[in-house]
Amino acid sequence: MLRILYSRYWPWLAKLSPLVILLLYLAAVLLVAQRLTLSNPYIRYALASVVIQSSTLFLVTVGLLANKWIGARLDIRRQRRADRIAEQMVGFALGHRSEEELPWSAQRYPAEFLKVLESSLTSLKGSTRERVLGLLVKTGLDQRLRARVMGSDPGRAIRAISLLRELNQPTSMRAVEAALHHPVETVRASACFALAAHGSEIQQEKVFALLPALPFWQRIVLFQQIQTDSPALEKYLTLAFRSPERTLVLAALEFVLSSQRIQTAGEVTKLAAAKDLEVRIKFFKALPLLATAEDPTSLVATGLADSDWRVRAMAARACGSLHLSELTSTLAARLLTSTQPAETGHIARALASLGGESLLRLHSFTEPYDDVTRAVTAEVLERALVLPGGSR
Amino acid sequence: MRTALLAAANWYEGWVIFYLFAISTIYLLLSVTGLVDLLRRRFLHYDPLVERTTESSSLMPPVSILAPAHNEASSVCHSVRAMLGLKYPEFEVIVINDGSKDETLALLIQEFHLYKSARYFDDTISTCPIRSIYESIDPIPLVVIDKENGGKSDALNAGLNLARYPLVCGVDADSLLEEEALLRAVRPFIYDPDRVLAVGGIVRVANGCQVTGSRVTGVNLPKAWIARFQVVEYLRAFLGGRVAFSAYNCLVVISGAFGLFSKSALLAVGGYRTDTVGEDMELVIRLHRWAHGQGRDYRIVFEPNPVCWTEVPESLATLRRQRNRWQRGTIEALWAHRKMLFRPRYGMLGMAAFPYFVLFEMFGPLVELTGYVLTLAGICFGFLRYEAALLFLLASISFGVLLSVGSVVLEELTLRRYPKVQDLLLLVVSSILESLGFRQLLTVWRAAAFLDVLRGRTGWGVMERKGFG
Repeated sequence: MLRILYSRYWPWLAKLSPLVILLLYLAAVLLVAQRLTLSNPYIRYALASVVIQSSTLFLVTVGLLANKWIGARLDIRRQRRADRIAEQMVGFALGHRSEEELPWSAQRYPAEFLKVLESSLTSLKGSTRERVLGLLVKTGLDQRLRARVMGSDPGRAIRAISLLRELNQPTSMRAVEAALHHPVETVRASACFALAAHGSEIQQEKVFALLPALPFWQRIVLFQQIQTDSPALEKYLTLAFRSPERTLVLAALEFVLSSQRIQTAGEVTKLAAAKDLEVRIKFFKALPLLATAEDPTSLVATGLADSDWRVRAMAARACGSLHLSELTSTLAARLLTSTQPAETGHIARALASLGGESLLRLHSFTEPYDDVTRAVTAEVLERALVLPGGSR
Repeated sequence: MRTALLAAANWYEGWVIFYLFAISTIYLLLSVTGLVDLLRRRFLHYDPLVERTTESSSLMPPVSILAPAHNEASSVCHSVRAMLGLKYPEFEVIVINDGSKDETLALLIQEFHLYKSARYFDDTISTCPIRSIYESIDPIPLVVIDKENGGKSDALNAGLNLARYPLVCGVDADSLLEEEALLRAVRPFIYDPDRVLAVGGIVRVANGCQVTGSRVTGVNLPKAWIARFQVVEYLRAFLGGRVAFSAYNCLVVISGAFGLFSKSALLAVGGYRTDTVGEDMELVIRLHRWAHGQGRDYRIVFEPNPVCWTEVPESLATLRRQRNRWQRGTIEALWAHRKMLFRPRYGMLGMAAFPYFVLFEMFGPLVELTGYVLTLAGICFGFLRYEAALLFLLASISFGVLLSVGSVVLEELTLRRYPKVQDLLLLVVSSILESLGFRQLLTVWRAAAFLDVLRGRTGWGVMERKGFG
């Protein structure tokens, strides 16, 4: 079943399956109708289809109920075994029990053992976690997991990868690296996530090279896995920001935005004036998180003078976050010329967060100006004054 | 003359029987398509990290949740708390108090410490006047709009004007969303960010379920048979039909109780229409039409995993009003877009899905009802062949049972939300019993909606809720 589901012929099979079922249904109706002795053919065929429908439903329902009943009983047994293993594991983790019982359980009921181990890892920390993880090696299950990584069952492969990444040993990570060539995309994605989190510098570089080509959802997950202090990351970001390739730059900016931590970036001046609009927008959005030797005031000033309001809005946001009070006059001037409420809002929030003189300037806009400026400014001021922590 | 009339009656009876077989065959095909798609989803494995990390990633598109509330004092606080507790990195909840006459607004102000806010908004879509906007003094992303009564669509449009995020999620204020519902519903938007315009989630029956702290913590079947029948109905509507239509990009309904939309697409089509009670269906059809008109490569998707729990009526009077409204909505939406019928430019939607909805969803109750009336009259006055009458009853019942048991089979093979063997057994029994009276009753109510549309009846009617407490 799984092989069919993951095969490249699946979309065709999925489209054909209703037709096949319809043909089977019609064939069954014809077959039954031939056996009925009614003289009226209309009634004969209609009755035949009622018979087929009812008998199919009866068989499916009986099968389903039997399956549920048997499944429920098997689940109870599995749960009992898992509870026993969990009890042994807790005893072992707390040092109350020796590890002798566990290898036997692992060999006899590997599925339940791995399930318990996996769930215990979400709650255990420190040396206890390490002790429990060590059971994978002691019971020899790590070898089995390494073999599963390239197996044809993607569910088992992903599960194996998620445990091997926790084990974090060179041999296990080599097995995970092999999964970068797995035929199923979701397994390859899992391997990428694991290597980004626990791989060696070379393995991480391999993952970074794949980054721009990965689908957006995989990038979202991957960014969360990357170790922010990794030397490979710093090298990657510096190279990406220098690169003329749009996808590379965008992926690097997305990473910075996702990490929400200050990242060292080399030369970024050209990004402020990049031809690509999306690059400029994301650059100014990420600017407060970029540690660069360049003067942020001139970078933000470039952004505030941009022809697109979305870039100006993000530059204003960066100005507020970086507390560049020398740009107060520029911001104030922009507030009056802005025609987009979203841009006005960002500028007003930036002025509010600069405080002091800027806040007074902002206050002056609540009265004599046009409706939008006044309304947006009033909202920002209200948030700054009423809500704890200012704007939300 | 009499002979001609009798022949016509017999011919019509035969046609109705053929109609019932045609519809059951179509449902069989839809169910198989749905099953194939659901099985793929069940066996397609994703790293558990995907859910854990997307929950906290700042790259996830922020969502504005719009919850119109009209006289929802019994459940609004529960629902809002459930919405605020959703697992999602960035979202805002906008409750629109649509001129409630009960304590809805007062309860919200008291419960969530609201103050009158100066929040700015664009009047992009015109709505009934907004009296005030409230925000919470607490660090929770809650906005409450207090406006004059203008109906659900008008309330949603007011919310749309205030929404600040690129995705908007329409939710009924009397429903409970599961914690991960939003994360799961957003998935199609992040898997296919350039094409997806809207995503619909599944709505399930909350009656009988255990609700703790504004969350459904235990899934049980309702105690009342009328609610059990509706469990089967909901399964049939969502798993039997929508999964299959979504697979062919022909989904024409996203339930108003839980649907996620691209805000820019919603604004491009002018928001919700206020002159219909089927605003959810009408909007989705309009989105299809707009996207086709723009020549866009787009997707409107149904996701069976994000669950929204809703309380269904347990009194016949309330149920009758609800079903009448739903049918009127279907008729109005399909009539408004009748030009799409059999138009090749709309592809599968115009050539297959739309005709299906017109023939079987819009006219279905009328055809079935006339079949019942004719059969009864035929038996009473002896002008109908007894085989034909018997066959009609057999076809009608087996069609109903096929549909309902089929959806229970789909549920059990794929999503398995009802864990107990007894629940499955009860669902199967409900599926059979539902076809022996309940479905016929609904057919009468739905057929009556035709008369109401012809009479020009509008409005929602009163919906009584017990609340989740």
